[in-house]
Amino acid sequence: MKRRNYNSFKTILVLAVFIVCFSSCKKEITTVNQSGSTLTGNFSQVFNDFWNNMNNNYVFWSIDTTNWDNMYKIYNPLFSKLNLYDSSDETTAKGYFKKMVDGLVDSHYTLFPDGGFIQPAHDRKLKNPEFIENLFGTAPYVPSADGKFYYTDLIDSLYLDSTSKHIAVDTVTSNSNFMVVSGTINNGQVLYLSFSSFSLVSEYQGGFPKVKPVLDYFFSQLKNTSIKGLIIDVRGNGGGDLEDLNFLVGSLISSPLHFGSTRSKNGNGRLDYTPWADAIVTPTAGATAYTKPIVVLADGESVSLSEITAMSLKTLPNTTIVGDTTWGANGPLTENAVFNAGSFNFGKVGTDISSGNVSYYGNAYTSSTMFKYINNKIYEGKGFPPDFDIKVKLNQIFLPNNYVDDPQLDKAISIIAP
Amino acid sequence: MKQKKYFLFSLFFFFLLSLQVKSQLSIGIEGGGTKNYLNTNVSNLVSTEYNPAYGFNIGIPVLYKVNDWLAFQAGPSYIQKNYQLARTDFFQGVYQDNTNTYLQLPLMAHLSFGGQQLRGFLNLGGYGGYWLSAHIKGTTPNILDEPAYTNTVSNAQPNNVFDEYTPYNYDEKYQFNNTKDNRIELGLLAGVGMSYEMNDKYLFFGEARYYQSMSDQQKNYQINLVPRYNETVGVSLGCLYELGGKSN
Repeated sequence: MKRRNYNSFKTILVLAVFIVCFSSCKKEITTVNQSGSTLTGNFSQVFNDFWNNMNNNYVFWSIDTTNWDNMYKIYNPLFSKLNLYDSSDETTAKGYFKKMVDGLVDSHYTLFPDGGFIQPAHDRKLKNPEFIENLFGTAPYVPSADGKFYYTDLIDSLYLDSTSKHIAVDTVTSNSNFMVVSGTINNGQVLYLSFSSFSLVSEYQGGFPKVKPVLDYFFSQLKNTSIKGLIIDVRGNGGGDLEDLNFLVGSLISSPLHFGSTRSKNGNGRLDYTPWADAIVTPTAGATAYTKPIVVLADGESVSLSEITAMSLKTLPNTTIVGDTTWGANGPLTENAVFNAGSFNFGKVGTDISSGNVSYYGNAYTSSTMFKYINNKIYEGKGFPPDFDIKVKLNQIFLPNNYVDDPQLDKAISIIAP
Repeated sequence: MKQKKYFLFSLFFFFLLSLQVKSQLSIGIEGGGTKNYLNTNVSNLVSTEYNPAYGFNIGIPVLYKVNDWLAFQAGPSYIQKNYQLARTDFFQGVYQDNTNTYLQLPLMAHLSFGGQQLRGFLNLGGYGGYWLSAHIKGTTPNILDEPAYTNTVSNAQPNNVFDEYTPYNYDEKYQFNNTKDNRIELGLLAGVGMSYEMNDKYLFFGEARYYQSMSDQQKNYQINLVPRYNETVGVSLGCLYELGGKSN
């Protein structure tokens, strides 16, 4: 009996040793600093703040090919050798930042390190010999009254029926240079709408007074029975306010339009995601479904909400996309706190005692959510392809004797009024 | 998948083995409630916290008696380790309830004391578990589902995130991510309880047990990963039936 008790005691002792050893395996629960909350006094701290913020706030880690851990291993020792107050080291640091973010798939992504500007998607575009930046802004033509050159001015002069021309260029409000054009083409057969950015609602509800009549004209013509179809031109349109989606696309549908889904982050881990939430366009009250052909003109400089607009309309059976593959920045943005994801400041360098203003070494502008189209494909970094891929070059548009042509618009018109 | 097979096989093996020594063996059933805490750190996330949540567990306790005061116990069980991720302040209403089910095998030294029929006991040991399934239910702001456009300019101040965003409600099975989710959980446990023996054959017991996971709920897939550990308190009632004759 004694022997048995001794064995039992031994067993318990072994168990106790096992428990003590096993409990030491548990990892320490580390603290992550809130974005931009810690004062950074050297480049090593700035780098760590940036790296961690990217880790926590960037929403594309599940599809991005950048090895972010490798970036830490490579650049942590390099940044630790730099002096934050040495101007040549500042230049070196910007070079490191550029290399770190160069392959990021987020095509909204823009890094502003200490007054610098790094936009990987833009850099990639410029490497493509077929891409002509600001295609129509480079034209050797007389600029418009506001000093800017707009492609749609040419459309106006060449294509729009003279009696239908409705144009407004905002030269007054803070949204200066906003432009909207509407009218008919081919003797009233085709309704046309173009605008330079998605700030339609803000302009319509209280912006430049001449914008509202142009948009009212466009909406009124949707019911014009003699018009055979509609062209929405978002070429060169850099996107803008999300509320414009329901304002514009919502006027062309009579029931909610499910065209994809979005997801964001819900934790600190790179792969901590919310579930996919349905992306929906809600119709405007009283809107009727536009059943005639719709052609969306888009190109490599159609960005963000321009792409979302094209993609949402493409889910309608009567929509065709003409032009070129879009920019590839589909993930909507909002304030970081909404999802604890997206744009962030990094490298807090000080607080002004009198004003309370906080200064940061830099800022990263990045999507708050990832967008997946209704076909379950993610077009971030790739762009949405057109149904009719019509690439244009300057010499195809700007012909001799000050004559201009638009092969993409020609195609769009031929679809509606052959 | 392979790990899951091995785990189920070892459970079965243990059960067969236990039947071989039935003269000192008791087998039974137990069930009760659990409260689980997710031990991690999200203090950097704006208005975000993890809250504990309740669940249940059922198990088949198997007790091998060594002597009057010492026994070894195992108890393959089906246990929930639930928690809630919630936003506070302006973001009140954003939440996610995580219902996590584990198949778990605790192995314990069972130390008992007291009288002939009514006895107190302590359980000390470890456990291995497999994260069988997970379900998520919650509400999140939906950035691409704005209310219909109305031609009115509103100056109303938002009091809550859902004054600005349409809520998206979800209730779905969680899809495990092989890169991220560590579905094997190893940990330590300690329990305290009372038992009452009836007719030399039946032992009724009540126990409060504490499980501390020692393995991170996530695989080590990135640098600076903040670990997540389940910490579970369970209260259960059960009954053991002694196989074969009473051993003294």
